[in-house]
Parts: sequence; C-alpha cells; structure tokens
Amino acid sequence: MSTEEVKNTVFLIIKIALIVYSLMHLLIGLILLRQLNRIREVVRTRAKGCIILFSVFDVIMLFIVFILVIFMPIGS
Amino acid sequence: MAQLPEDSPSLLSGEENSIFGVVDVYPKNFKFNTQNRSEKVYIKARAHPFTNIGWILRIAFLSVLPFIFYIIILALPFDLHLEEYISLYLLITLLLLYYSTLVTATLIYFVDWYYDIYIVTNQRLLNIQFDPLKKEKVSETRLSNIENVTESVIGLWPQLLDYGNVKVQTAARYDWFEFKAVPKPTWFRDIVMDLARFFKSDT
Repeated sequence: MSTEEVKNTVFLIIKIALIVYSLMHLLIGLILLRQLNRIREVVRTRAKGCIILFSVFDVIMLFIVFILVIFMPIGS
Repeated sequence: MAQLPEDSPSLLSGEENSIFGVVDVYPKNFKFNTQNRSEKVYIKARAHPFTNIGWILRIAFLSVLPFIFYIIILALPFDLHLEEYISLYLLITLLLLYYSTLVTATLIYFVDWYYDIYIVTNQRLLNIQFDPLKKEKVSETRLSNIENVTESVIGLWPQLLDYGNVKVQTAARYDWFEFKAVPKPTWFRDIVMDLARFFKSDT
C-alpha cells in the first residue's frame, strides 16, 4: 500500500466519522427545535421567539456543516 | 376561587420584578397552557442566574480554545507544515462543526435553565422542569394542601448571593416539591406560606 493510498484511507475514515457525527448533531438540533416548539406551548414567555430563532439558526448551521462534510474531497 | 385583593400590601408587596425575569410578581406576558380562566399568576420564578456561571465559563473557554492553539502553533520555533496534512476546506469544516457543537450546547444549557419555572397562582403551586433531550416534568399542588415550607441556603455562593432551595411539603404523606436555587428564598418561603394560610382560611 503506497503512502498516498494510506493517506486517502485515513481521509475516508475521517470523512465517514464526520458524516456520522454531523448527522447525529443535525438530528439533535431538529429534536431540540421540536421540543422547544412543544414547551413554548406549555409556558408562554417573552423570550420564546428569540429562543426558537436561535434554535432555527442552529439547525441551519448544522445543515450547512453536514452539506460541507458530505462534499468534502478525500485527500489533502 | 378567592383572589387576593389588588391592593394587598401584606402579601405580595416589597418585591420588584428582577432582571432576566428571575422573580416576577404579577408577571406580564406570561401564561401557561393549563391556566384556568379565573386563575391569576402571582409569582413566576427561576433558578438564580449565578447557577449558569459554570457552563458560561466552560463555553467561553472552549470558544477561544482554537485561537489559543493557533497562537501556540505560531509561537513554535519550527514550522509544522500543517497545510500538507489538513486542507483549508477540512479546517473550515472542522471549525464550523466545533462551533456548531458549542452553539447547540449553549442552547441546551440556556433552555435547561430558562424553562425550569416555578409558578405560584391563586389556586396552586407549579414546578415545570424541562431538561432538553431528557425529560419534561410538571408537578403541581393546591395551595390549600401545603403543610410545611423549608428553606435551605447551603454553600458560600448561595449565602453571598442570597439564593437557596425551598422545599414545600404537602398534605400527602411523602409528597414534597423542591424549588432549586430560588432567589431570595426567605421571601419566597414566607410568601408561599402566607398564601397557603390565606387560601386555607378562605376554604
């Protein structure tokens, strides 16, 4: 196995790990958004809009990261 | 159900609405889903903001950690040639992933504090506990069921900043509520007991 092949294998493993991590993270973000939507019905406070907005921003950020990881080229 | 007279100086006076809405007397723009038509919210409280200091410091430190690493790498007497191992694309992706983790963690920690709410109405006492991704628990008891209220301020910071736990024991044998890190616990305990006494004498 050449050095280049080893390098590519390592990058592939890193990419798969990052895909799994970012996907799990995206799921957590979506679950959190769903939970916040529920809890804001339980108690209606002043800052509910800001919190939901922050959560939406978080999910968008996680989605962008997920897309970036998916299209990440293998190799340096 | 009886209500306190609007000008009830003996019970709910002497307390201003505090910063961050930690203790609100007669809170405005606040409702909860099981609130009855005749039910009036007297007090809405949360844990003292100081209880958040641990995670705020942790997140602040983790936010500057990549910069600290960058400064250390720059300060090294030799060149590591990192660009040979890590492409700019990978570096940006890793940084975004790292900071998105911090944003999610901040949101989880904040919501965990913000949605743990203690409510005192003219009918009952509610304790709403919301742990993101873990649990959502709502406990309530009628004011007329309250038997004992115990206050405990334990530790250096709670004594300095005046916050502590308030335990409310109800008529049921082993049933009790614990309001954790309540700001001004003496005032809170006193109000809860006074209200319980007021509504007991009314029934």
